Amino acid sequence: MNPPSVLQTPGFAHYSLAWSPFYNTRLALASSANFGLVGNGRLHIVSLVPGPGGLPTLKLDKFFESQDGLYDLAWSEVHENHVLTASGDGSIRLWDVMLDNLAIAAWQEHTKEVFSVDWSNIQKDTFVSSSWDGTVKVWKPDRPRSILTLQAHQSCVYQALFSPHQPDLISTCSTDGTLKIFDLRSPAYATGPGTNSFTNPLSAAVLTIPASASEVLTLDWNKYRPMVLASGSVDRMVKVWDCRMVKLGDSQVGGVCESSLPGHEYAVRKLQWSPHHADLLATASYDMTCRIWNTTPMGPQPPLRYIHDAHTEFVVGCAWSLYEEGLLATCSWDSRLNVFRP
Amino acid sequence: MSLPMLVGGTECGPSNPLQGLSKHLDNDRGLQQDHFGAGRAGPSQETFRSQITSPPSFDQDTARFFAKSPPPQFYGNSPYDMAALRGSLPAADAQSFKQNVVADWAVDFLTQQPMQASSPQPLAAAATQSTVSSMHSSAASSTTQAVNMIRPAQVMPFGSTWNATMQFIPSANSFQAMTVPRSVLPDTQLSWYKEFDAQQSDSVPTEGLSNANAQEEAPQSFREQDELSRTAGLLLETVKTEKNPKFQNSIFMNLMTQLRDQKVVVRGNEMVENDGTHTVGQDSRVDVKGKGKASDSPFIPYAGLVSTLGQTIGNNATMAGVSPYNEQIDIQEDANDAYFRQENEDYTRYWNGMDPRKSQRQTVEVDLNWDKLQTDWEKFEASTKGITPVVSYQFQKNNPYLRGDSLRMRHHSMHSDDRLETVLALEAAVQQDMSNASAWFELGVKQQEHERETQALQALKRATELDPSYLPGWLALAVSYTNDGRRLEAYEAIRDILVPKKPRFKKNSSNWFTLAVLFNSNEEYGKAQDCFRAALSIRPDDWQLYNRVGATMANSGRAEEALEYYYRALDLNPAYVRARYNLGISCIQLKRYNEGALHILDALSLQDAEGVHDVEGFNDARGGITSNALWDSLKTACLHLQRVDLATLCDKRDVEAFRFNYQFR
Repeated sequence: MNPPSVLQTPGFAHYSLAWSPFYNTRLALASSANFGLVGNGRLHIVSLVPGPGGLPTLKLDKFFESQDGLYDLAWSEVHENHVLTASGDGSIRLWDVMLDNLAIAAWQEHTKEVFSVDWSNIQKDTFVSSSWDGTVKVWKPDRPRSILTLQAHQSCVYQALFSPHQPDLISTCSTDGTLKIFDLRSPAYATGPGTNSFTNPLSAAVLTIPASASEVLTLDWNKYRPMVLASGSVDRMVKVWDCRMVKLGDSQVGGVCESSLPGHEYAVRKLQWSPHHADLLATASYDMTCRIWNTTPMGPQPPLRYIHDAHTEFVVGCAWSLYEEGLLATCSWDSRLNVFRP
Repeated sequence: MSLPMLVGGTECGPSNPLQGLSKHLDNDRGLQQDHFGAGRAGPSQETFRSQITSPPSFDQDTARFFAKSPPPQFYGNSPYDMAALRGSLPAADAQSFKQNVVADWAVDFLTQQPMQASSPQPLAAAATQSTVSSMHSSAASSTTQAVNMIRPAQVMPFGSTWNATMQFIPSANSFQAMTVPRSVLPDTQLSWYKEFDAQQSDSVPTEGLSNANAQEEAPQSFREQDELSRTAGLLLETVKTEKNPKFQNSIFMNLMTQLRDQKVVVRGNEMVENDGTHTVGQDSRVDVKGKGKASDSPFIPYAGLVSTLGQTIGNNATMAGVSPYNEQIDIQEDANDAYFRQENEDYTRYWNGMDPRKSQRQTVEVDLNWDKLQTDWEKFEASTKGITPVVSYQFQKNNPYLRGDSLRMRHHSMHSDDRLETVLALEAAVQQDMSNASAWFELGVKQQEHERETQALQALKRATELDPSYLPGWLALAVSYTNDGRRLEAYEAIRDILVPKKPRFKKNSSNWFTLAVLFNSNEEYGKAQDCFRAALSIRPDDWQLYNRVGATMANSGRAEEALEYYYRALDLNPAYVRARYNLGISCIQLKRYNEGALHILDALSLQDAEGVHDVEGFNDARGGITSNALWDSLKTACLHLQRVDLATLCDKRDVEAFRFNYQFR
């Protein structure tokens, strides 16, 4: 196993990373100073270049400074040089990597930190953001205001992702321990015990999955099997959920847990299904490791395939390369980006 | 993450980002958290249930505070969030702390300014409620004040100590007699909140005011530092047992250690080494006093985590904040002194500001106070739950029917089917015969139709008191309770109906209806609908029934269908204010904002026409008493229409002015 390619950005802890969908060697990193507690943020643009000995090395192309820490980023699906960042001051900014210094657009609507942004793969002109104020907002880059606001949860929404199979489904996870799937075609207000339509309306989720008794920090849609989701939570479990029972237009609680993957020693902070294999899952955790799992239930081999232990702080981001099969990048609070082949 | 985030916003997101991390690092504490959260909210809900009539603009925070699902409740509102305090009233939790402050200084101030004694709660309440309901809530709040006064004295609530506390009560009521201009209130609220912010009940009662002052900008940094260091400490606790050398060598963990030990502090937008200018109380790390009292949880190591999540932030801050002031640090102390001075000035200015309006009447008030004492004493009844006020119905003044305009009355009865049509007429009828249960019942039902829920409740209560066997009265009472969100009382009222009826359940409309109301309040909307339909088939011309079915539909999310029922109700009774209001609400839900606004405007005009036109202009609201709920919904609709000018006009509660502006967009 070759050692990973490493890039270090001193002083800035990484929060998230993403591979560009247009350039097979370009990555972006969302980082914050002082581990995100106080201080600025940086958006780093990184390239993978062939280096000595045939091993790829990482080169920092440029970075953009931001007022507040950056928590997440998403590359645009329509424009090869645009990238979005989610910021601690509640704003979402759009950057052009060809320019310098300032963002080309900013949206400030969330009242708390924006913790995730995701660009839709199918409807290439829409992106979604989720925030600690409990709302999920849908935007178009050419509109100055959000198109839709979902009152997704009563507490922080850690992640909101578009489904890669159906254009109008968004899945969210939150501190209340649930995963919710929302259908944008018919947002309605939920009524029931614990909700008050006038003063505190909650959007009706098409499906609510009680994923965990603790906070669910991350989720991802399987790229090959529609309606299969994975969730990672504070109770150190990674669970794979089958949600095919969802009836669009109805509001129910469901989700069948296909498999549970124990192994991490602390909370699971990020996970991503492989874009090349239907059952390969990468997870990053506060136990300072990144692990690769094979999620075929009842497989002959144990699910845990690989433990990547090179980081010295919490591993908070992991992403598979979209073009090169089996290439994984992880980023961590030790300010290092690792790219390796597990 | 910048410092404002550290200070403000402590809902689910950590007020300092470390909290989020410590949450994640911990083992699964879901159940523990539930336990804690439930234990915490219980008592306050119990005590203050009757007075949760917070102004609509504060509703979001209060509703979130009382959110049912335990984990978010747990990370609930921070009542001590200074930024959020501007214009929001954190309901029960703040009150529980405010009272104790009131108890202390109120004795001093009460004799001089009896009006202002029952401060922020009635202030806030009076801002948006009709006089009666605010009396209700302020009386309730002053009773709880009274209760708390007693507790330190360790005397049981009944007995001679009541006399000592009675002085609170007339002050509350006399305050309510005044109509305070609404513009004054936001400012006064703010200065009040500054003072009452986060008072620890058992800590430093004598320092009352000065401690309250100690919350602001200069001391805030202490509070943040302390929270940060405490959270850092907790974080370290959770990874203490970690054998992995990576954790020992981790830079982040080192930073946490330094934060906990105050070697590194957050200054502005960066972390700096602490060169001795920030010294916080030595026992800040094991500040059990504040936390121990504030939390009943057995999970002591997590108590600090809990407290920093917002519910008791202020308390601990006070605790930790007190020591720095005693420590005489040069730079910060001057800032504190300057702040105290400023606060005191503001405070005295505020009190003086209140004076001119009332100085003339003060002397007269003092004499009247004793008379009020007697009458107000009768307003309270002792019960096992505490002291509940007995509210009496406030009749409208200058009722022309009472003045003996019998000509008018006769004309009306000739044209109608002998039923008294208007609220005024019904009130006159009641006033002429106060012990007539059916008169009270009619009045109550009429008030219900006109969306005046509190008056309806009082009237119906009187009706059922006077004649407990009059079943429609109980029914209407149950409906009112349901509308008010008081399910328990609704159940009790219905139980009183159904129990005697059990042996012979006749299939008549009111029985179906009763069942439907029961299902409705239990949120089994499907069954409720079926019962409603059955009732409707028996009584197809009952407009109230149509309205209720419509409301059921709307509540279960079927606003479109609800509209039909409302229209049907209005066909049968065009003056039915409630149906019009519901129609407006449903239109708003369906995003037909223009329509909704028009309907609500119509409803308001109808209500307006019902009132007495006050020539002297005594009432602030010109014309009749318009229901605040309607105005607030109208405001919402205007905001949706992007008409902020109209929305602000709603605050004036002037139907004519609004109509004028609305038509000439």
